[in-house]
Amino acid sequence: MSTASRVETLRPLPPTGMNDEQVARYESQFKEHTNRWAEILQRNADRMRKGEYSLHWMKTDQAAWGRRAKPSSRGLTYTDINNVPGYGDIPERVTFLSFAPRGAVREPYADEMPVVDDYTLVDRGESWADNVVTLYEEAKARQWNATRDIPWSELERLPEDLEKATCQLCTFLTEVEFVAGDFPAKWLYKIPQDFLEVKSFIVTQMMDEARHQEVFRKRAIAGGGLLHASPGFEWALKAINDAPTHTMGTFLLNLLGEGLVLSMFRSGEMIAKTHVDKEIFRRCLQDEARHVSYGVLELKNYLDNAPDRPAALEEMHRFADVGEQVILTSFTEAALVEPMAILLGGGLDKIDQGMEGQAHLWKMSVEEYLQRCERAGFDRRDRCTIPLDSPWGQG
Amino acid sequence: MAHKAGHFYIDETCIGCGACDHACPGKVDAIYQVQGDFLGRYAIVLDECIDCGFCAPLCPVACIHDARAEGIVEGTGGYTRIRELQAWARARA
Repeated sequence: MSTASRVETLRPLPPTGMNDEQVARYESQFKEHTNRWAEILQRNADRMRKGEYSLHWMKTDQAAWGRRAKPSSRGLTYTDINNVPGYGDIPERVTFLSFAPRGAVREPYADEMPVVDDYTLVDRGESWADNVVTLYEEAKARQWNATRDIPWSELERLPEDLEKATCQLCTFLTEVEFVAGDFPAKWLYKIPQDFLEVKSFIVTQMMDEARHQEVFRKRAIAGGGLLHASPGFEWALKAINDAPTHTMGTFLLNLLGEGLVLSMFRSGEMIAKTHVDKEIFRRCLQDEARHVSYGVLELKNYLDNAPDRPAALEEMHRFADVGEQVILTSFTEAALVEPMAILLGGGLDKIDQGMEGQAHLWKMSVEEYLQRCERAGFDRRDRCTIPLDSPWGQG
Repeated sequence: MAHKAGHFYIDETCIGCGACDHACPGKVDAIYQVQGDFLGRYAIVLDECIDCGFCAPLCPVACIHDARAEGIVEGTGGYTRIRELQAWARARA
């Protein structure tokens, strides 16, 4: 075959008309604004043709120019640069709905810039948390690699009942972990650029969850295989994904859901049956703690800044009344409770003893949840729909 | 000049999120993660703490205390409950 005919075969296929409507909409959207972007293009082209320079970008009268950020002993953190006047003022309400960076000279160009209609979380109360800047730094410092940092080659073979229980637990964790990637992704693009610290932290959360999904999937497949998915888990995940607001979903995901998973990881020394599993839990625990931490202070920030706090509280309670029950559905599934009991007890023949430990874990998880709510200024103690004691009583 | 030790400390209910660590001013860097602690908890070196208090409001479980205001208190609330599970596990070992 000649080179020419080979190239011929690589030519793109003719348009199929599959995306005609979308492309037409895109064309008309930009044609509608021709007077704005095409004028910019024309102006730039004219200047270039005349051989002129603008150099307007060197003017510093409206810029915070010359106030240099000083690195701390840890390097140059967001806290360090936010201490420089002109850069660290986090607005209560964002009015600049473009990609223009906070602290840049942008006002003179506002009229010519397109508005990002998707940026709808314009109030600081809808996504900010006072610890988000330091959590972002911490997240970067604690990244790890599920391929390299787990001593996979040292994974011991377990008796079949313990291996199946471990693999089922990993199946559960694989199934649920990435909702903490999907949910933030759904809201990330709605958060304006002025809240860049929130956006950055959320991205680390998504990366963490990708790693968790990876590490539990790998653990299951390295030990025997993935076992059973569960409808109860799926309903909990749906409740998180479909939450009506960012704060409500963050409450359900970070404060409640991830909080319960954190309780499990904190019990990892007792659940894990190999040193490899302990290492996995230990590493995931630290990641999860950051997500929980953001969730708690995000809710606190929302409530503290709500124009009508009693109304905001009541609405959150109304949401939590449902959310708690759906999350509870997940945490009562046999596909989770039973393998946990087998691991805590030390074998299928000790499942009853394991249920005693599981009862302690239940109580601990609910009390930890109530403590987080309290810290956020959201007292659920008298209203919590999750029973403080396990349905089977012991413990 | 005599060195003054700080007064802030972290109780046992720390969840190990590390928000406090990066709140501590860089030149001070008095907060560290306790090596070998499975729960990944943090602690404050009192000799290095300058009592700025930046760390405390960032804690999601209110486990950072100022000894001048609260004295030395034990952790309270749900995050102390792990002791019961640990005791149960120890009793079975």
